[in-house]
Parts: sequence; structure tokens; C-alpha cells
Amino acid sequence: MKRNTVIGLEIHLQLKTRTKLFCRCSTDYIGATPNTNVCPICLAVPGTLPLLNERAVELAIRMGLGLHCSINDNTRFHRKHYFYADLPKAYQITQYEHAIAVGGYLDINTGGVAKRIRIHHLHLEEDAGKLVHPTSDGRLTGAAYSLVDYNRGGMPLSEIVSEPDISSPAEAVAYIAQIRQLARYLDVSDGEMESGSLRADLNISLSNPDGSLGTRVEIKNVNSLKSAERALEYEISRQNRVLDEGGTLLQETRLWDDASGVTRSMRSKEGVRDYRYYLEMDLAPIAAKPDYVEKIRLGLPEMPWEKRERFTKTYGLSQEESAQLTEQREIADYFEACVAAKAPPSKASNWIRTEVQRMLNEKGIGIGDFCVSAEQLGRLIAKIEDKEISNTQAKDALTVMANRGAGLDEALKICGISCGRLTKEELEAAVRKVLAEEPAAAEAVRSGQDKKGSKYKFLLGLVMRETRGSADPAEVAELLGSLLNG
Amino acid sequence: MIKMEMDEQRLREVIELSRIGLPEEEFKDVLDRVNAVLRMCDEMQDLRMDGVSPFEWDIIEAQRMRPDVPEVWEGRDAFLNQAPVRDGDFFRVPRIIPLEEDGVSEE
Amino acid sequence: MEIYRLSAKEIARGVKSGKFSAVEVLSAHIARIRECDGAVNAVVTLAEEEAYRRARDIDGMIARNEDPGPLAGVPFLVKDNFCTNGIRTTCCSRMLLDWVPCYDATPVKNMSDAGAVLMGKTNMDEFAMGSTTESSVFGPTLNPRDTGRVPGGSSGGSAAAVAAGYCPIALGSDTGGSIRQPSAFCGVQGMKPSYGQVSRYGIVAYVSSLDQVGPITRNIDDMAAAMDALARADENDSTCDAYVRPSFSRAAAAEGMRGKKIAVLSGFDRSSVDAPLTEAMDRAAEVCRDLGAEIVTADLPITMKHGVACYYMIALGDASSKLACYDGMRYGFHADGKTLSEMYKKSRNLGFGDEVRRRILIGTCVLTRGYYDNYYVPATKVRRMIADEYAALFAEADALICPISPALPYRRGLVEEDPVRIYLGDAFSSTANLAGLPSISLNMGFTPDGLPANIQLMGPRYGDADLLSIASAIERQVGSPDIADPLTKGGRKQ
Repeated sequence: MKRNTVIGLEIHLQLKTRTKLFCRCSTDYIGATPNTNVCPICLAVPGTLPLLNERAVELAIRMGLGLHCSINDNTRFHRKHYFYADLPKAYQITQYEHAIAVGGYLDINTGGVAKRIRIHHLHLEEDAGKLVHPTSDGRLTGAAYSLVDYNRGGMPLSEIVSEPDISSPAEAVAYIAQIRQLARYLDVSDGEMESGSLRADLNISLSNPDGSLGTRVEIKNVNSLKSAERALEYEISRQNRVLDEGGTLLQETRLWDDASGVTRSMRSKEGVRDYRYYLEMDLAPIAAKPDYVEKIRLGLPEMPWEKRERFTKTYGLSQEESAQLTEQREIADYFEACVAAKAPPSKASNWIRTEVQRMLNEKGIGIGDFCVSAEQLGRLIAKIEDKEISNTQAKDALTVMANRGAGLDEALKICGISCGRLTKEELEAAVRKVLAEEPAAAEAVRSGQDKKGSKYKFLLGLVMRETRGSADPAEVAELLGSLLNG
Repeated sequence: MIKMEMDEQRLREVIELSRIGLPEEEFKDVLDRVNAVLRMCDEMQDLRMDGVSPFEWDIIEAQRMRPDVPEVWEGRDAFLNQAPVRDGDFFRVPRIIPLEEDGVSEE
Repeated sequence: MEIYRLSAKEIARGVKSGKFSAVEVLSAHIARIRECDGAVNAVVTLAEEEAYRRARDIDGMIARNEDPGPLAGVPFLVKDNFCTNGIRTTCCSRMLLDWVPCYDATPVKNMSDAGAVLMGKTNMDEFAMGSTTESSVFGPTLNPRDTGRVPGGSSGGSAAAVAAGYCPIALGSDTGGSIRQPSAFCGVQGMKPSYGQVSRYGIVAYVSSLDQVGPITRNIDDMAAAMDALARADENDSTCDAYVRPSFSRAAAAEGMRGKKIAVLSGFDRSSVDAPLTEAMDRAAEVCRDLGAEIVTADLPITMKHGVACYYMIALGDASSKLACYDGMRYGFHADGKTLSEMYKKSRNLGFGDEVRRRILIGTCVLTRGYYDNYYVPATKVRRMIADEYAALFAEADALICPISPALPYRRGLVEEDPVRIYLGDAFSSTANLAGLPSISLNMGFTPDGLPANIQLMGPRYGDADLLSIASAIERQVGSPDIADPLTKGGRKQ
């Protein structure tokens, strides 16, 4: 039975601010001693009041604009009530209505097919603390007690809720990846799933053949793009199986178990769940006035898709090359600086996507920590283009620059590469030297016995080696010819 | 006007939601009081409220947002020292999932 | 004259001129507390050591010709829901019985910065929930004017302290009348400023959108001096207005009445209010007229009919939310449980008193599905309508005279017999909180039995300075109340 897959995603991004959403505690909590990035406000000490972080609002607006949303000029906060050890106030300050950004979209590309996914809204909320369970697998089940660390409590999150426009696991992955790229481009979030600065909750249902919506299941605990894909694939087959066998699906939350490759039912505590949302009156409404929003809009960098387009048009690169170069904003910037230093775009593209990327991978660093500046690389590539040095020589020089932090000129000196063409006299001297050292080969070529041309190639190679690769092969061929034949 | 009465079932739900352990013998008294307060409030529903939006403050010059500048709290150690459930650098809570149940607690 | 009979202004003047030292002043007031508090039980924590240290600092500044501030050496007390650094803050609840905050509430800091000397904490209804100060874990406070009666609540301790001469200024918090009603019951002057006028940072919350801090004094000049110290912007409270306040002392000294239009509340059943209290209203109107004001009557139909219901829906709902953080983990009363849920329930059930538990349950209920739409949401809209009704009134008048409590001070124990009557007692006072208006509880004299008769004087939003002018003008005519003597007047010792 053909059922359509209907997927909606809720993505939580930890915002790149220096302090938490409602207090002045540092957000630098990874690796910190438990309960040190805390203060009376995020510990819910009696008498304290929340104080909204202006940078968090700015970043939320940036992301909202990147998602083509309208920015709400009178946004408000609400309280969401529940008791749990990681929530000191026993309510989370979030946005239930009047979210800061509403009604946008994100264009994704799955295997060459473009699709527009509508964004329902983006809202701000505070994160909860972390629980540590002393069980063998670190999971809650079976824990006789738990330990609470509030360092993460109060971290600023923006939650992005999509409409259920996604129709396949591949599209879901493309969507998450595009959100992540946008967040990094806008410097809104690190967007790392592994360390938790990007968390995705997946909502999936299978629609019935008559078009009516099926039962919606929420999947949590997906920590990578691959997991998201596998979890959705598993869930689609599970749901189909249940329905094919005539069973009914429960509207529930399931956890993805990456090790076993299955989703498991999260049986909630018996009883009522009523969040009792109402207006947070300890905070005044935030008026994001049009000129404030406009100022933020003007400060936005080029969007990743805009940059991709521009690269193909301006630099004549293929779609795939552009996509690779613009994957990270820093590399795209590096490429453009390289071209500005007179490297031809296609050569710069190749060098960066192959040689430079390989070095970054080997060293385990990002382009920001690469000690060869874009200008230096650009000049190096320009020298190849001007035929001052050869490809091989350039690779050697780049290696020295990358490993020893040497500048371009110093590296060329270290490699013994003299820049600039050989003079005619130098070249002739080199050719004569080789011919003198290899009389047998020279004689073979001269007398026409070198039918396959292997001796000729041999001599040519020797001349190139003699000149340390800086001779122009065409000039060498001309000289060899004239010297051999009289 | 919709006259709502709190009954014992709703009281049990509310006790759960507010984590207030109320002994059974106090149920009747609480229900009487709750319903007395609700009766006091029934008439509000009959007011014509079309187009009236919920109340919000008109603060003249609010300090609505705070600069993103970190501060370290000096009192952290003293605070942890007097926390009832302190365990080293952590706060320690008893078993979250009751033994009879299997599965994972929500949130 | 004993030093404790002096006003705050007189004390500050005396300390600055060297007539007496801050230490002398402090001693005199502490002696007064020791003399009377056995019969009144207004003070729950006396922080003598810290107070003397502070008083010596003030004296040191005087000796060095430095100015300690306009309230130099003035001793004050604060309600026990004000966080005080290093001094236990209990909200008179078992839940916080041993809790010592690590910071000062902004109002406390502001008073100290003005040179005042904190002596300690006063009794209150548990977590500010009550109108009689009988629900405290430290036992009830008795009314110094008649110890068979309650001092009102929830700031009963602060009001009783000022009435009995423990200090010329005490601070309270007012959510539905909790400064003004005890001020009325104890026969002193009390003020609830406009919402947003004074920072709430460090006041243990009851209702976020209704709580306001205010001074209790024996005369309006002292009240204005306290307002000058208290009403300031605070970066730790987003709901505290950052505008530049006028001088409240100057307003209180100004000629306040000529050309003003004073409204007197009508449209309510006068027989439902004790006669001395309506007579006090009439007397106040007369005084205003004699001073050159125009007297009009004003109706507040929606406010009078629905105000108290609206207040309770909003107050109880928010209280259930703000009291959810007491779970026995990070501070406060802790009871062990086999599970997390059991720990929560035991800690909260044993830590909270009966009235607090009831209000949390009612408040939680009001916010749940069904009840939220039929009770809470209408209340938030009625609140808007009440605020609009008041705004329309103050477009036509400069101040409103009305009752505070419908009754003279209750006899002790009434709250157990007739709790709903106590709730309804907030009918006149709670609507000022709903609309965020400034309101002064002004003493107009005493009945032949020695019971105080106060009126409520309300003004438009942020009209606090003008309101002080008007109150001051009335007080100049009728006089300010004397200190009560709980040991001789009307009192059976507890």
C-alpha cells in the first residue's frame, strides 16, 4: 500500500552568545566543572528575576531573516510548567505565541531536485540543565539516583519549526544540513549535532491512501545526519509494517537507539501533562522596531545559496565546485581572496579543493588555522599560471609553507626553486650538458633509431631535472631538436 | 456562563501537576474552598469582552534587554555548601523512574 | 522626648548635626523593640550585630564630615520576604526557615545607600498570602492598638512595628493591599507605589505582575523621603521603570490641593463598610474642599463588581507558578523521598502551611485546560477593563478617595471562621494592584475605642508625586498618628 511520508522537523540551535538567555553566566560550559557557570538567576534563587540577553534576540532575528521570516515587532515570552530535576524554576521561559519570527521558508536541494520547505516559526527559549545517571550505559533506566549539573541550564536556544513539507529521509537530511550551514554562515550557532549545539526532533507520519493524515510519531535522540536518515527510514518501515498488519499506531515519542538501529517507545509517566502556558510577566514585551530589524538585515552576510549562485556565474565554476567551495563561509572567503591575489579561479578552485583540503584533513584543522594565507596561495598559483614555476615545484613550496609556516619567497628559496624563466643561455647550457652526458641516447635520436621516442623522452626528462623543473618543456623540445640535428 | 466545579479527579490531577502531597482527609476542605473561589469568579465570564486584549504593562522607559557581558558569581561555593542535596559539585536527586515502571520518564 | 518618637527626618537631621549618634539612635529603637515585642511579636529576626556595625560606619562618616545620605542613621525594618545578605529570610514559612540569602534586595540596598540602618526582619503571613498575619510559622503578630485584634496582613509585622515605635520607616510588599490594609489596621501611613516605580529584585515573589514594594511610616514627609531612596531604576529588574523620578520630598512639601479635583468613590453599598471608615472618607473630602479642591463623585462599576474575583484568579495563578521552585533541592526545606516525585511532594507538603498549599492548588487548577479559558483568560481581559475604567476616572480627577478595608481591624481568629469574608476584604484595595496605580493608606484619626480609621487615596499611573502632595496636604490638617503603646492600651498579653 502506497502511503506518503509526511515529515516535520523541530530544530534547536544553541545561540552563539557569551552569556545565557536570562542571566550573565558564561555560555562556555563544555568541559567546565559542574555547577560553576551558575548564578542565583539560573538556579532559581528566591527573589531573582530574568534579564533578557540582547545578543540572543539579535541572533534569533538574524536567523529568522535568513529563513525569510517576518520579524514580530511585539514578541513575548511565556512560561511552560513542569517539574523535573533539570528545571530549577519548574517552568521554562519560552515563547508559546507571538514568536520572534514567523512564516518563512528554506530551499533545499536533494540530488539535484530543488524544493521549498516552509518554516512555521522560530522562537527563543532557555535550555535545561543536564542529568548524569550512574548506570553502565549512562541512561536513565535503572538509575537509583541522578546527579544534576545546571551549567547548561539557561543557555539560549532558538527553536525552528518547519511545516510538514518534507517527504523523505533524504530531504530531511538536506534540510538539517541547510539549516546548519545557514546558522554557521550567519554566525548564529556552531550547529554541531555531536556536541549538542544543534538538536533535531523528527515528526513523522504516513498519510493514508485517501489523503488523510496518519498518526504522528516524534523521534528524539538523533545525534548526526546519518542517524536522522536511519531513524526515519526505520520508522517508515516500522509504521508501514504495523499498518499493513492491521494494527494502529500510537501518537507518542520514541527514542532512536543508534547502536541497535531501532526506535523505542518512551513510555511517559502515567498521568496528566498540562504545561499551563501563560504570559511571563517578569519580562516586558520586546519591541523589535522596523529600523532595529533593518539594521540587522543590512549587517547580514551573503546567504550560502546566493554565494553558490554567484560563484558559478562570476567564476565560471560548476554547480558542484561552487557547492564545495561555499560549504563553509571561511573557505569561500579564502577562495575569493586567492583569486583577488591573481590566481585564476579554476586553478584556485582545484588547489583549494584538493591540496589545501587534504592538508587541513591531515592536520585536523580548519581553514582559519591554516598558516598559508589566501594571498600567499594566490601568488603561488599565479606563478604557475605565469609559467614561473611548475606544478610540482608549487606543491613542494606549498608543503614547506604549510608545515614550516614559511612565507612564499622563503619557501621557494628553501626548495631551491629560482623563479623567473631560465635564460636562453642557461637552458642551452643545460641541454648541452645532458647531451654530453648521454651520448648513446643522443645518437639514437639523431640517427632516427628512436622509433618509439622513449630515448627522446628520457633526454627531455633529464633536461627538466637538470633545470629543476623550471624549464618550459616546449622550449626544451625546440632546443633539443636544433642541437641534435645540427 | 460556564460554571466549572473542581471535582476529586481534577484535584488529584492538580495535586500531581503541582507536586503538593495533600492527605486524603483534607480533600473535602480544599474542594470546598476552591469551589467557593470559583463561584466568586463565575460572573466575570458574563462581561462583554469582544475586542478586549489581555492586560499588559505600559512601562515608560523599560530596560528591556541586557548587554551580552559575562559575570562570574562569587557566591557559588557558599551556595553549594548549604544546598540540601549536594553531592560534590552536583545536586543529587533520588530515583527518577519508580521501580515498578519500565521505560523513560518524559522530559 | 524619647528618640524613638522622632520622625525619620528629625533623626537624620539630628545625626547629621551631631545632636546624637547613629549608635544612640539604634540603641533607643532596639530598646523599644525589646520593651514591646513580647506583646506584639512583630519582629522575627533582630540583626543587632550588623545594625551596630552599620551605625558605627555612619558615625564614622559623620566624624569625617562625609554625608551618609538623606536618611542618615534612620533605623528601619523590612518584611521577611526581602532578601537580606547574611541575615535569614524566611517568608515566615517552614519552607525557608533556615535560609540565608547571599545578596541584598535592591530596596534594602537603596535604603542603606541613603544612610539608613537595617535592624532586622518583620513578621508576615506565610509567603505573603493572607490579610491578618496569623499564618506565620513564628506565630501571629498582635495589633499594637488593640492586642485582641489582628494587625492586618500580609505586612502586619512592618505596620505594627511602625505603629509601636520600633522604627520610623518599615518596608512592606503589597500585592492586593498587603501594605495599605495593615497600615490601616495599625493606624499608620502606608504606600503602594505605581507598579514599576520600585525594584522588585530580591523580594521573594508572590505575583509577578502585582507585587510592589512600599514604605510604612507615621507621617507623609517620612514616606516621601523613603520613596526618594527607594524609587530608582534597577538593571536587575526588567519591570522596574528606568525613567527619571521627580523629587518626592519636594512634592510632599509643596502646596498640594488648590485647583485639584478629588473624586470620592460612590456606587457601592455604604452599609457594607464600617461606619467610622465611611465617615473618615467624608471627613477627608471635607478637608480637601476646605483647602480649595473640587469634590466630585465617581463610579467604578466593573471594578467594584469584578475586581476581587479578577485579582484572585491572577494572583493565585501566578502564585502557583512562582512557588514551584521550592522543591527541596537547592535551598529550603527538604524531606527525603524514595523517588524524585516523592521528594518533591514531601518537601512541599511539609514545608508549606495550609493556606499556601490551598492557594497553590487553586492557582494550578485555574491555569489548567478548561479552567484557563473560562476563568483565567477572562480575568486578564477584565483586568484591562478595570485599568481602562480607572484611566477614564483619572482623566477627570486628580485623586480618588475610597475605603481600604470594609472593616475595622478584625478580631483574632476570624480567618479560620470565615475565610471567604477575608478574601472579599481585598475588594477595595486589590484593584490598585491590578491597574498598577499608586495608592496611600492615610490615617484620619481613631474611633472612641482607639481603633484607627484610614482612607485610601489613589492616583493615576506614575502620579506618585502628586499623590504625596495631596496626602501631605490632608495630613497637615488632620495630623499624623501617635505611637501606639501595646503594653498599656487595650492589650491582653499573648
